[in-house]
Amino acid sequence: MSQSTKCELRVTSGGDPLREAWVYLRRGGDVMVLRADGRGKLRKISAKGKAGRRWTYSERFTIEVPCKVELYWSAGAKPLPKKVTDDLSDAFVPRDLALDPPPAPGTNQVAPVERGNKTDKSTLVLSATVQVDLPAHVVSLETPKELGFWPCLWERPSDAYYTDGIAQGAAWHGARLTENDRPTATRQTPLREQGLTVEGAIDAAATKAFLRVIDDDGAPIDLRASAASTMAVKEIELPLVTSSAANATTKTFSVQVWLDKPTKAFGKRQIVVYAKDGLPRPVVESFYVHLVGLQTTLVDDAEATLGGDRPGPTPMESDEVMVVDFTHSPEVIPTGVPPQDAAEKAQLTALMRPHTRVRRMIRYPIRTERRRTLDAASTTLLALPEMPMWMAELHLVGLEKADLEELLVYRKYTFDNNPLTLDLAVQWDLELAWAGPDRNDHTRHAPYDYEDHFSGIWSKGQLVRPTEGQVVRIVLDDKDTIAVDGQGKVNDAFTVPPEAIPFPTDGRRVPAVFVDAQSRSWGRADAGALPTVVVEWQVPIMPSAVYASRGSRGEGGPLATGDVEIMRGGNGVLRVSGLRLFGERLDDGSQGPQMPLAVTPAFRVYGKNPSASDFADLFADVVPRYLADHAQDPGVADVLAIVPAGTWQEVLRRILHHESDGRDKHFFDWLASAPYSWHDRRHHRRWSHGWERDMPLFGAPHGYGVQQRDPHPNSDLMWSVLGGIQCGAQELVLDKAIAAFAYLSRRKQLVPGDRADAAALVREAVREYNGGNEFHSWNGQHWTIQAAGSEYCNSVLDGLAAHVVYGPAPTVFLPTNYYP
Amino acid sequence: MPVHVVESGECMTAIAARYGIHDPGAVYRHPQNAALREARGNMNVLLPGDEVFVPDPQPKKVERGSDATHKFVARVAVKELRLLLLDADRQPITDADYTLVIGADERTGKTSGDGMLYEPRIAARATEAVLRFPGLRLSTCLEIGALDPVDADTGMRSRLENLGYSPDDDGLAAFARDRGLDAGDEDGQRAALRDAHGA
Repeated sequence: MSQSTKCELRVTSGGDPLREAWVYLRRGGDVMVLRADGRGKLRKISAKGKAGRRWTYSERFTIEVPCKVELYWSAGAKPLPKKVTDDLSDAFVPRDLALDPPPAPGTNQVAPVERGNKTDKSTLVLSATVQVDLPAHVVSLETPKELGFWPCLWERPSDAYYTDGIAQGAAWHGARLTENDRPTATRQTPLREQGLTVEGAIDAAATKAFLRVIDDDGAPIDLRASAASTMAVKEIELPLVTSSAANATTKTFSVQVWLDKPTKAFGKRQIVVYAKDGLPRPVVESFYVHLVGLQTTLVDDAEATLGGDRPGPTPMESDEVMVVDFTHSPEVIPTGVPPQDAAEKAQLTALMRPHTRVRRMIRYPIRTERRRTLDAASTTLLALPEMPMWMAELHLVGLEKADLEELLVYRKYTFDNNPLTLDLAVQWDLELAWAGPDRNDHTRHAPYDYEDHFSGIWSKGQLVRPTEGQVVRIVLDDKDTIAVDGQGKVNDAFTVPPEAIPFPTDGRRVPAVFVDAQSRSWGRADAGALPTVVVEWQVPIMPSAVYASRGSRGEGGPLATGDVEIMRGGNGVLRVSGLRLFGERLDDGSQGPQMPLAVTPAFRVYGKNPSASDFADLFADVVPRYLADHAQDPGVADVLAIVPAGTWQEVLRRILHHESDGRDKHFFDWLASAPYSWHDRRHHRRWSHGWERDMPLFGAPHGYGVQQRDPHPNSDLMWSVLGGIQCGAQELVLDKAIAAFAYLSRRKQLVPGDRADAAALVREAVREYNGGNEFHSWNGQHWTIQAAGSEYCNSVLDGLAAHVVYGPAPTVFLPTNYYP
Repeated sequence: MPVHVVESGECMTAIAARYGIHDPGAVYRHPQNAALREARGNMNVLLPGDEVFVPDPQPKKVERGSDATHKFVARVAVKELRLLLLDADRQPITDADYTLVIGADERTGKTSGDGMLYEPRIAARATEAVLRFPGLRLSTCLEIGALDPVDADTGMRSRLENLGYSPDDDGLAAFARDRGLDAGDEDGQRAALRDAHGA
């Protein structure tokens, strides 16, 4: 006969059942971790359970009575590690367990057996229950939320971050840097992590309270009490705030802590809050969070393959090069200084040098390496410009798949409705902006100074912009795992399924969510990669009414409309402007692009010129096509009747060659023969910083690009060599030639086939391209040049018969000068 | 010929008795209860809301002469209770003296050598009893006939409770782990729970 004297334990606190709490039972120096179920009954871990997973504490716990024990309880998702309960052994309260008075019976529901059935039964496990009451305590955490992420963020880079360790101003004025010149000095002040916020409340009687962050074994994570502190500490005292309410039962605390070694700190952690002073005995609670590094980066897939079908390298700090630009331009010649003399130049140089700025930046190219046709109807392969094939990444650094699964499992077994998902909503914004060398010159035309913002998802053949950004859903399956493919990718993770952006080419890779097999460095210092959950998205750089934009729109019409790529260069930054994790916004919802959660350091998008032969091929294809497309525009037929399209094409080729300093280039990249940031860009007593490496060619006062459109062209034409050529064709034929035709026609009716008229029209159009007129009269036999001086036409048409030796006005324009 | 809608705590024995039928099997086996039999499989494990077709009772007519004494034996519907009793270590509580109190009826007995308690005659309408083991200081209130089918959450929880697991999903998961069952196969887990518990 079995005569069990074992009893179950039911725990109350303040007379009420202690529901869903960890109970620590100490006897003889050993601490047993038990779990109070929904009725306060203690359960022990089942035979195949896992320590700390409360849902595996399902075995009925019994203890021989009478006996003496010591007990403590905590309410966190995970039990206090042994090291914590050992350190705070005074927290335990002694209790005598006895069966007197006899315990009240429990209740069991049973079924009668059918008459005659000899085997059916109801099975009952019976044991007595002893009730024990424990003191209540309050330690709660408001921020971060338990069973969520505790994200560590980077500080936003200040202006000084980019120039750190690099002398500014005069030292670089006129310097000649190669494309890949890197800073020789290391950063003195690297980017730092922001502090992590902890907010909560504790029993009002407590006069001191402390915080630790521990790992699963209870070992403390090194902290710092301030951003500036260099001393690692194991715990931080919490500033307790007494409520003004007379009957307040708690004091609140709000503190920021810094991680001493973030890469060693990331992982599943418990925030431990404890207090001793002012209380009858210590109280301690712990809260399970996953400490994760949150950052974003921008990968250029075209860096790996021009087709963009493989991931490009993650840009690191060691990839930064020195980018020289300027903060103010132009300067005005000081009063009293004669123009164009040594004194002028010396004074202006002194004025402009301080405006020179050198920054460490990652550079992404507008490429022209890949050849493709201009449109579906064409078969000619051309080196057309393409934006970087950007794949943006949000990193949850220090988050392994197994740890994410554990977090989700805890949530599943803790929260109502057994949530199975990590819902992550990310809002982002990619800004591209640039102010040209005429940025401070408003005297003739608006300077070039633009800022465009891009966001959205390419899905189902169009750009969409969900209010909440892209929503990612990672689901725990019925085996409590996250299904991934061989690359660690979660299938069907996006609420709005992205497609690969179809431009500039098909076959680009599709954004994905990876929870396994990925690792990234925290920050950009190559400090060793950690397991990382990666959420990707592409940023469509395309014309769209939904994009925010500011700045002068310029002239020349859009190069492209609709669902195609557009070119934008200059300075960029990618911002994660909003983030929701597990339904909790990490920001307060009011933070716009100016207050991002995560941001890339500012980067530079620069233009790559096609080779000379590629430029020639591009020109030869684009110009005839453009002129044919616009042959029916008003006035064009009259112009083409006098001078054929082929001649205009050659004239334009010469203009572009001349305007680009004889190089047929849209972006400034000839460092061997010219200073970097300073060039003689003087115009009307103003000196501008002239050429900024790999930025659109500039000519004062407002000319830009291979075509030197002034007033400046719009951004579509500004950043594309294709746009530059088309803009030149538009400027020469659709604008200046028509104007020249009208100008000359007021003096003589132009006759098709008349070489003098054709030559005059060409020369006048060329002169007008540069601004102004050359021909003023028809003397009845010849066109005469009334104005002497400008050599622009001769320079453009140099080597052709059209060269004119200017004499005393009027200079007769003779057949020897005729071109064509 | 009413259709009886099962309420909480009712089993077929009690329902039959309510309608004056001593043989609950006759009700259960009635052709019009075929769907119920298919769904439940055990006439004393019904779910509130189940519909039971109750046939008219068939009164037995006996003619006897007057001015004489006759002995009539009426069959009274009863419940049979068979419990396997285990201690906290899930070992059978063997040869243990018990008291079973059903209303005013107090019975005593001793569990068998394999921990079984068998009470063959409990009033059909009885729904509650108190079982005590004075020597072991154990007691429990029995709700007889209140066990729901295992495929109902209430039935699952009751069985987990009876078997010493926490009466919730955690308990079911623990039961599955202890038995080496597939974590995702809840139907299989419930079937195993039914087999382990009985009824």
